Amino acid sequence: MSRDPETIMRSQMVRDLIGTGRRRDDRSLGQMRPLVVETDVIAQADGSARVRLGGTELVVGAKLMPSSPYPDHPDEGVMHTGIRLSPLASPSFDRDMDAEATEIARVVDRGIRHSGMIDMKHLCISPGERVWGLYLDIHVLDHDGNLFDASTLGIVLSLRGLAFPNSRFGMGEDRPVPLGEMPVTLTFAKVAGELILDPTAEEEGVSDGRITMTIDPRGWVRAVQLGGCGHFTLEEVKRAHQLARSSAEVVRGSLR
Amino acid sequence: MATRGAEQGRTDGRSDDEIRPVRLHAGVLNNAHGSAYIEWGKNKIMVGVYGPRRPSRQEPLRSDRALVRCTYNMAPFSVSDRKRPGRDRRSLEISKVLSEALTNAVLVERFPRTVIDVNVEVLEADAGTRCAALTAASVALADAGLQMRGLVSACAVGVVDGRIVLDPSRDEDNFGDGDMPVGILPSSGEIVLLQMDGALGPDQFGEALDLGVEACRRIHVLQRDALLERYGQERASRIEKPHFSGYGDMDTIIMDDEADPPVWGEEAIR
Repeated sequence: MSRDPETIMRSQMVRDLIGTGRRRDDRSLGQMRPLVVETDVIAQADGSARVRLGGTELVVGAKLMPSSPYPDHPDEGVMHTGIRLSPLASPSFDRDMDAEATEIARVVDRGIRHSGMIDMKHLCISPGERVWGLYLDIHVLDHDGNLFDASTLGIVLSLRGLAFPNSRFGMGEDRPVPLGEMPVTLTFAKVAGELILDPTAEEEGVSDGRITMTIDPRGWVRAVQLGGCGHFTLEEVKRAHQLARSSAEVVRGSLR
Repeated sequence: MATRGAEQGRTDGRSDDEIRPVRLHAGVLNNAHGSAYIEWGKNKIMVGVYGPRRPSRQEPLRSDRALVRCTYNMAPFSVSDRKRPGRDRRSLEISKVLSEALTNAVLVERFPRTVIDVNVEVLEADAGTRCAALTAASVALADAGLQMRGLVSACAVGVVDGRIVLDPSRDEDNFGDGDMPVGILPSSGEIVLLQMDGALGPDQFGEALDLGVEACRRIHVLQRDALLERYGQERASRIEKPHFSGYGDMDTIIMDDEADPPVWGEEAIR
């Protein structure tokens, strides 16, 4: 990031404001941005969703393709999560974003996988021979921070309409994929000693670290990732866990 | 005119010189300097423009003009069989011909030693993506406020059962005898994109080209309308993001910030 005087002054303003419990967009520290979701937007996908979380926008397409199982899990389907940080989404994506993209995809993947929303055994066609491969592809169109939470939301909502595309592969009629309850991912940035939910790109830019937690419907933690060149005290991590649990309930309630 | 070839019919019921429905909106992204979203048939394509700017990578720049650098990319879920993410030969070639076509549209000599990035993301592909992308890309360049000689308008012409048809559908593209994307600068009439594969008879080539150029002029009207919608007299104070056209049981969920009670931190607000 460039360190011109204007950037430095704006960073200081953002930090000072958060130090007094306020944010540039008038949210409280624990408030998410407005969320708008459209589902079934891509006819070629087996499930899809477009998510707009504040100024962040992404499209998720889920696809099922016949595939081979892993030898150590012959009766389970396989799942792959990928993300494209398209250069059209941010001026800062005009460089190699492989490391950032891989981290987001892997963290989001772990949360979805371990939440049990999809039982991999349901994706088995013929044990040891053929299983469904579930490909979850996230396509970021506008980046204004917090791609972790928006990505999990997009995946979860694209899975809601997911059907086995049996007819496309000459395997009979399409039928819905059985789903468990949805996980919710919550990301907090640490700014001026405060934890703020759902940080914007500007807030991420001035933060002293980031912590992401995926919470399942029973309140269990399913994935955690600390990042962004920061460090957290033990108390801060425990507080983030508490806040994530209560925030997850708010998000889950709104999407039910 | 709209009845040409109607007796044979097309798979989707169009007449031979009929373009699929097109929706085009300018200024739809927050970060990009200029942007456009196009739905053309079932194609869904987003274009974002950055520049003129200095590239962050070391790059051979032109001292006499800007480099227009188009990157065409297809989402893995945009086609029937999942596409492997990343660059391939097809997308590299399309990126190159689109870059060259758009270089004609921008007054590139006004911005020496810079790059203008045109990022094309195909979210859903349904034949004719390069023409739809080129059409949207020139609107995105205009939305970025770049000085231009004019817009580039594009449309493909196909050959199906020996007949010349406009804007071939996916079936006609897959099972037809030929495909010829045409892109023009309507302001001067110059042709800036022309590709073809298949079979066009000696008498058909000229006819197909005429039909393509005429179609581009129809597309040009839609581009102008999209820019007028964004910047015209009755310009809305704030542009609403267009909804994507859905299918099946499309559902829209809106989680309003009003309905989302602050979880903590409110004690600090005075």
